Amino acid sequence: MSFPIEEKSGYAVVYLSGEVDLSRSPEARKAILSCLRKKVNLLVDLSAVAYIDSSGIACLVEGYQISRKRKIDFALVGVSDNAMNVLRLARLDQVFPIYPSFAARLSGGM
Amino acid sequence: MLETLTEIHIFAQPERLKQLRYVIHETTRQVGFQPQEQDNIVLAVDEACSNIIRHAYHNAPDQEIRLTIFRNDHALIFQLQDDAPCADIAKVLPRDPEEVRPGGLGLYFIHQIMDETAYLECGESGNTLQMIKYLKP
Repeated sequence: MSFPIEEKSGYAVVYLSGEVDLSRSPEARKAILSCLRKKVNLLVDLSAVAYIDSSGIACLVEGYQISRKRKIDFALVGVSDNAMNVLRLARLDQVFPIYPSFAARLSGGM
Repeated sequence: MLETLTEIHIFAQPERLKQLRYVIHETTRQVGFQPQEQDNIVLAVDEACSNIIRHAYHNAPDQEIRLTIFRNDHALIFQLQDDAPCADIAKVLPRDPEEVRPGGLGLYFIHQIMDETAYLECGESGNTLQMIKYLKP
């Protein structure tokens, strides 16, 4: 099952949801990389993520690293409590740009 | 006194991990861990299972993972068994959290979350990984 992607206001938004684990992280990776190949600014919406493991986090890290090399904007938006807990455990909450919502990213607010 | 709380066998397939996570979640809830700790313990054991699937079994879908959860007065004890060749313990090290790269976080999570982690067996009959989480007084 693929994760939906929406294009709005110059961004591609990948909506991850449910349990992003070893069985579903390949689809998450595919969605993120497909956007980065098009060199579109990318936001990953994690508001509906109930669970994420290291394979899911690895997709986000890979996407972030590619975006930096290509000078593409990349951020996480609407990070769920569960996802934020895992990002904190991984000490990545201080690495990724994180915004409470798409609107907040557009307005530049944290 | 050591009490066996649950034993579960699954095929080593990523799609089966959700079932295992549910069992672990329920067990940790019933034992009295707080929600955040429940989530963390689920993550740690799930990561260990993912490592078995990917690194011990090299994604072979017809292999088995066996999880047994024990309890004593002080801790919840998770034992994961597989039938893979002996793990190279010297290579089983968590990564430096300062290093930002896609891989290597699973072991880091296990060591961060669990109070004790050790291989009990590593030989012809497979591997047994034991992870212990202390109960709060």
